[in-house]
Amino acid sequence: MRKVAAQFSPGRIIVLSFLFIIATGAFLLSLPIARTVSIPFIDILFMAATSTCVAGLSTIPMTSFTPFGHVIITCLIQLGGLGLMTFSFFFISLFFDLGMTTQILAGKILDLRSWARVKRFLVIIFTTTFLIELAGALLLYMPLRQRFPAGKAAFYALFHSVSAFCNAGLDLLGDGVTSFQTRPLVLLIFAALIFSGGIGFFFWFELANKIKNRIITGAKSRFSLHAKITLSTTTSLILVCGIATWLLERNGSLGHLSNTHSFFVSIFHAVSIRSAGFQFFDLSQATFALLLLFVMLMYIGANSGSTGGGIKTTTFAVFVATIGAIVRNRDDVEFFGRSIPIGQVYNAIAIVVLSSMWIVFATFLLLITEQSLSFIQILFETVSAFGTCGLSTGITAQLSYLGKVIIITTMFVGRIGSLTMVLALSKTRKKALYKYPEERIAIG
Amino acid sequence: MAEKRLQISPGRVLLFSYLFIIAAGTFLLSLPQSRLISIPLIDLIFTSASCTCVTGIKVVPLPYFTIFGQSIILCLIQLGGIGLMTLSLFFVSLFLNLGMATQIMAGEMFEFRWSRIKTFVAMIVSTTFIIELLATIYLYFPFREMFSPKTALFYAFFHAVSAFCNAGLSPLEGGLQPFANNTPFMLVIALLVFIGSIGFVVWLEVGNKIKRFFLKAKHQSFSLHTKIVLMTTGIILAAGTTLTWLLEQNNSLKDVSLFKALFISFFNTISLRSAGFELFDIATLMPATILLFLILMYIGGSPGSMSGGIKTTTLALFVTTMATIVRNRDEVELFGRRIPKDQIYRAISIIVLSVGWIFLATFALLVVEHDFNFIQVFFEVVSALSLCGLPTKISTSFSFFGKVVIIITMLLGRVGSLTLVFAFWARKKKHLYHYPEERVVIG
Repeated sequence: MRKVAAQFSPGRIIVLSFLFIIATGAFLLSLPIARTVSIPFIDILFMAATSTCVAGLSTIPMTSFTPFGHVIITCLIQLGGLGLMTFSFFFISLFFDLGMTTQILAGKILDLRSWARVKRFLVIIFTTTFLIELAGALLLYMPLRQRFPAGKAAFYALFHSVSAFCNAGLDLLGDGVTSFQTRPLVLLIFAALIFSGGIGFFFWFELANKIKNRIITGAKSRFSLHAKITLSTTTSLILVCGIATWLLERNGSLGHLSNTHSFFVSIFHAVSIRSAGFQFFDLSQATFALLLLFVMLMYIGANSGSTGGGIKTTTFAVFVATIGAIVRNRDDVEFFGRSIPIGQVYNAIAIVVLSSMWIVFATFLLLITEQSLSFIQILFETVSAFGTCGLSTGITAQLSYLGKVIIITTMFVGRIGSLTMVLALSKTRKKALYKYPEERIAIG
Repeated sequence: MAEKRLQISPGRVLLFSYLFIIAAGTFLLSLPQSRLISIPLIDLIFTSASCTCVTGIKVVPLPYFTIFGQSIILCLIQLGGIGLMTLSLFFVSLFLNLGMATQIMAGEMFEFRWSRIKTFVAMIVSTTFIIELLATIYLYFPFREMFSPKTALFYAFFHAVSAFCNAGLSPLEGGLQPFANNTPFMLVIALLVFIGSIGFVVWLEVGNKIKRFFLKAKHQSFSLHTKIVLMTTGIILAAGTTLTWLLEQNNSLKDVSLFKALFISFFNTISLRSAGFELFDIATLMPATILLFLILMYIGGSPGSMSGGIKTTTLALFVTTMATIVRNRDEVELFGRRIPKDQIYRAISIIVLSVGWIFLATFALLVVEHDFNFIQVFFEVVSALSLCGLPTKISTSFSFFGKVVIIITMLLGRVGSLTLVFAFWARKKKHLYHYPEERVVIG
């Protein structure tokens, strides 16, 4: 009995459940009522995977599916987005329990302890998600109503709200939100949905707690280290990328817009690039420098415990701080007057390195299978799949059969890879009972 | 007084001596008798930096310089190559001395001592000249078939130095292409590059081993350093050759025999690791091969050698560290030895900072140079940082700013990682406080 339980490690549960959802999705989408034309199986599988992994790359236009197909896709996005969020919440809170003694020793008690509370938190996650998506749908209905009949507009509003909140970035309009470029308010709704989905529920909880405490007791509570890192990294990434985009493309791809409009588009696009991948302007004319910048942002991705992908902002921040600590010759990796446990530092390094290796590996394979495409297009596509961003330079549809398989795998790895790895690494460390003698070598 | 001495850190000595050589080289190259036509100053600086850093990227074809100019270039390469080797030996031995107390405590005595440094430097210099001399004599004959005795001798010497110092510059119009079918010739070049890139610690130990073998003395095992270098180099050469051959057998190697194809792949793998003599026309390669080349260039040669890149030992430590983390072990172990923590941190930071610089430089170049595509610019930056200097011929058309970026990248590639190592070596300030620990959610 124990053996059976041991086989279902958290990592396996996550992998298997995502595989199950993708398989079911592919089956449903392959039904004749879900599609308007006949589609090769690999493209259906790609669609199911891209929805479940909330990546948003697609090999076939959304018009190849019937409204029924669109509903299935919405469900897949919702399941994929929410699923990972709750999984990571669930397992990480368990994981935090493992560190309980340390927490108590440090004079703090983390309160995600008992099962009863876990249930409550799950309920909170679900209701918050639905409320936000509903609000998003209501707000998006107005601008969409101007273009479509009521029923279609309502469905489109819901679809885009879910797609934005879950950071999927799939759209039914065909050109992302490019057509709303001159309507900052609509862009703002999209950006807000993406942002709230990508910021992660750990942050929501803290914020909600903070507000509650403030109202009820009037006491000021401080943000945790996690929240501080998340917020500061996210803000600086969005600002840097937004301003750089604006400077580089002001006279290029965004040349047809006024300065204010192009600035808004740049900033909102910076929100979207981190994991959603709604297209705010035409990327085919973008400079190589901008594409390289986007590659880095997509790689970093969203926050832990969110609907987004990538290596996550905290991983990136811990990684950068580690290098800073090494260069400044300090023993501890420090942030905001706190030090990061060495185990987490190792985890961050491992995630960054292994994911980079995967990207180089996948790029290498794609360069072999797709000989007609340029290097930056392929790199962009791979990182976009890994960061579950789904922005593309427009080559997804041209990929060969093998190329599609590689991208599907990359999306899958990007979606659940880092979480599974953290879980695998958080097992108790086996202590070796011996040590080899030390020996120095020359480096560098 | 004490303060003044502190300012002259090893890193600075290294950096300033390189800057000085580059400046002197630029001045000499700018003299009218060293060039045939007028050349803009930035290109002279570029050439001087490229030679001193033994990179071998050229913006001015070497035939534009007179024999006097080419001799200066040769001197710069020799100074740059041998200078780094001796300087790094000097500092590394200082560094090893610092760890003396630990060494004694561990019951081991390390043999590098101040009195021996002089011997080592003399050994390095003499070995270099002997090898280069032998190679010159050998290379003289094939060149003699094409040139007058004097020119042939000069070219033979130039190629010997250029190959041994891993510069990869050739004064000939078509590089080494005319000799592509002369297998023994190419083999000698490959051997020179290989010896130049393996590092003096390995020379020393292999030399010792051979000596002991002939004297029938007691068997002595290699140090951890030599073992790691030999193993990593072997793996890289085997993997690089096989992959190049597999990728290119239906492309640019389609028309040559199997043996020839394997040899070209092998030569390329050796040459790519830091020299940059080319047998392929980069333009005809498959994109996947180019990515492979990028990785090979980035890794480079071994520490304490003429080569650039992040070095084989850095890579080996890095890979082992990752394996250790994944396997949830505490200690990084190789060949039954434990690697000290500070060296692991160094390896990680060398890799991260170099990747960071590559992206920064590529980004900057992409912003200013609009005529080139991503992979061309990326290739040029990695090639400059790892001192490989494989000619994609695009540096020539870079703007002033672009050339400055490449010059800085070469300089960083030459002194960067070593300086970084020394920076750590500064006595660690112990802080008297620790902040409280707090977990964040990762991944």
